Amino acid sequence: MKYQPTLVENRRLGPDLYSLWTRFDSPCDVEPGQFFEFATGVRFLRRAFSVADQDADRLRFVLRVVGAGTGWLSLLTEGSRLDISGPLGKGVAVPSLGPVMLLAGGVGAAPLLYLARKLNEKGVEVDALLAAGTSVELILVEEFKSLCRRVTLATEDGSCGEKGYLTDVLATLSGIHDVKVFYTCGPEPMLTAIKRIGLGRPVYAFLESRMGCGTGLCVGCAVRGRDGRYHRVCTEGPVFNLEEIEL
Amino acid sequence: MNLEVSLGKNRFRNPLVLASGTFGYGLDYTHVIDKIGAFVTKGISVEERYGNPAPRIWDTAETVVNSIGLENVGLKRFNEEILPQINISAQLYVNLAGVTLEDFRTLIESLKDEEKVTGFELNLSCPNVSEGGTALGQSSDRVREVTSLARSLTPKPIWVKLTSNFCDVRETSKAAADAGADAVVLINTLNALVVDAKARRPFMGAGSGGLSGPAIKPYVLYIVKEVSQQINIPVIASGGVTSGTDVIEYLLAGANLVQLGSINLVDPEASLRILEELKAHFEQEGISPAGIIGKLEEI
Repeated sequence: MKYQPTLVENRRLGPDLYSLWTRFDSPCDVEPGQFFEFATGVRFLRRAFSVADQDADRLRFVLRVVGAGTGWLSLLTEGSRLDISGPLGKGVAVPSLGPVMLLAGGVGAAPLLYLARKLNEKGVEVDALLAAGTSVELILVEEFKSLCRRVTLATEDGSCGEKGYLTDVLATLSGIHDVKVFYTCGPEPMLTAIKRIGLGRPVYAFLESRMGCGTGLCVGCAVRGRDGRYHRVCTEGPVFNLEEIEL
Repeated sequence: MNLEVSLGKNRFRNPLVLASGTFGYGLDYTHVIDKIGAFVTKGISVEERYGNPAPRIWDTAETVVNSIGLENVGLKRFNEEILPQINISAQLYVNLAGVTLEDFRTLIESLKDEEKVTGFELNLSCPNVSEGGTALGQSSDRVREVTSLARSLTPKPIWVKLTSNFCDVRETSKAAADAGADAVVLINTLNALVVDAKARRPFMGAGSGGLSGPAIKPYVLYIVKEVSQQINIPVIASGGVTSGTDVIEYLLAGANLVQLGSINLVDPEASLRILEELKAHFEQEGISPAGIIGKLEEI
């Protein structure tokens, strides 16, 4: 589906990090993990962003400026009409049994926030470990605190919360033995580290990928599976069991 | 409004073709395919191919570089799993990605009697595989050889998709025409290198890729005009179309059909918009697409 929602709030969250609240003509049915493709005035292909939150007829997206396309979007002013298509991708089947733990690295917190919202609506207990390089890169902390049983913060430089990488802090956390399932989103080295430590329970990763079409047609956003075959992040994903993919 | 175009005895309801590799196998977005003249499948190779490592896609405002690497399910699974599911009203062309003559023989013999298959597009030009592909399409002798073989195996329409990378596409087009092709498709993507300056290495996972998108349109228009004047079979244009006007430009330059490729990645329904733009143009002008093919005036 194509939409032209109105940008109702564009707020800087941190270095190169922006929160965009968009208003649709009517509420849009979106599952956690699903994403929209945004047209930009400066790049041929659209740019994909997961839904970070929902409030009635409004959807929130968080973007990190990495190039011209995301830079263009970050400069949009409130009242602008966006040209987007979605929701695309396979959403997460929100578990009914908790506790669930969310492991976020940097801007990876965005799609996990929406999952936290959905878990909260279902009455499923959820914990979150939010990690980033430094304190100003920790985003959406208050939102997570309002939805989670427990929120742990970690920074590599120790400027906020525990000091260390996400996996270092995770190893020291007590009270995670009852967690049934983990969801994670973040940079590839972080996902690799999580995979390496082995949590003994299912870990689902929300993958970020450079996409072509977002609709499955071009096979541009491939991730290699354990079987050697490539899977389309946009269609079979973007959420994969961490054990099923090669990073 | 009648937008019909003929290639020999083969009639198309409009001059638009969905290009190989940009619209999957014909199982998705069939409401779009059903409005278009013809649909070309993703390239099918004899064996399944897993394709190239990521990143596979890069773009600027007017270009796309891809290095998918012909990822496809292979002939067996195409026959058993995909083909039975294809249910479209557009003409179905299967893009054949062979490396050797034997590959093309195997592919055509396996598919030639399938009623659903209107014809074949021989992929002699993919820049994203290390063997075959472009190498075949760069040599007139090889183009002649593969096209002759295909011609001897089936009376169904044979399109030959060519490259202009490091070769004279006028000569390879003549070779395809001489060997009995029904049309040539001009052109496949251009060799492209994207450099990650910071890492001092190529950006694409496979090292290099193929360039497409609006930026290459003037280049392809020139090739279409040159080649269509020199060969006696139809030319199918493929290069950077994003609007109805672009299609008209290609028809004027001498193309009988026009493929839509990269634009499908921006919007899978873009071809419906382009079709509406074409209708509006021809209604307003009171002419048909067939009436303007090759009618570019001389300066």
